[in-house]
Amino acid sequence: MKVLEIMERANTRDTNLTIAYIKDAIMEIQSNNELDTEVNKQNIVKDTRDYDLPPGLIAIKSISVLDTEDDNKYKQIRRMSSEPLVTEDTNP
Amino acid sequence: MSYDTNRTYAFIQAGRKLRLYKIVRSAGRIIDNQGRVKGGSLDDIIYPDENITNGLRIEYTKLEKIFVEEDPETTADSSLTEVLAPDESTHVNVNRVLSLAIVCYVKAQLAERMGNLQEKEYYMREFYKKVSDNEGNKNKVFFTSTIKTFAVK
Repeated sequence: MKVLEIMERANTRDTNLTIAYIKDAIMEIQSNNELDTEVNKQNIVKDTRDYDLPPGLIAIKSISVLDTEDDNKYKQIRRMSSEPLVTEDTNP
Repeated sequence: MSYDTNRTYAFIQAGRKLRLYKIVRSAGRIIDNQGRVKGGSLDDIIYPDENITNGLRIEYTKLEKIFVEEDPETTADSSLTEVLAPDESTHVNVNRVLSLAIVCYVKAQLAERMGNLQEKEYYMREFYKKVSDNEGNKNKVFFTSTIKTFAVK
């Protein structure tokens, strides 16, 4: 459907506003459903906790970590419900 | 040398970062120097303790080619050309049902601008109804197989 048809059906003449609403609508659809999914792979680095989320991400579908002992399968890991208690070990 | 990664790793999302932790399983019970069992101890959580090339896999939804030059109903997805500065003649890259859902969303937002919240709620309900219709239209096929009489269960 063209932007013009959406404008006619919604009875509006403001193109820029309609385009902004279309983007919002697709964002809303994407956050609950899977229109386009993509996969991003990163190296896990020893003693590094934080990893960048890919640009343009709307919702995480799954996070997996490579199991090198089990035929290099990516296994889905769990989401923690809260931040763990952090204690800094200065004398390991 | 990662193993049982589904049980030994966990994550939490913090803004634009993903925090990855490793769970170190500890012995279930602690025995003191007099032989008394104290009860369970908690598993430790540490930072990843190894390098794994391409070890982290993130599957996610993203916005891609929202506006396109060609009609997405008649053109294959790979042949669509993205339009970065859309105008009235640009196509929205979704199917017919979702396009109608978008119409409802635009109507809802316009109603909200006019201060008509009841109308907004009505169109938002229509929006979600059409989005769920679209999900219901996906042809899902289930595979089943019989279990043999003497199979180990």
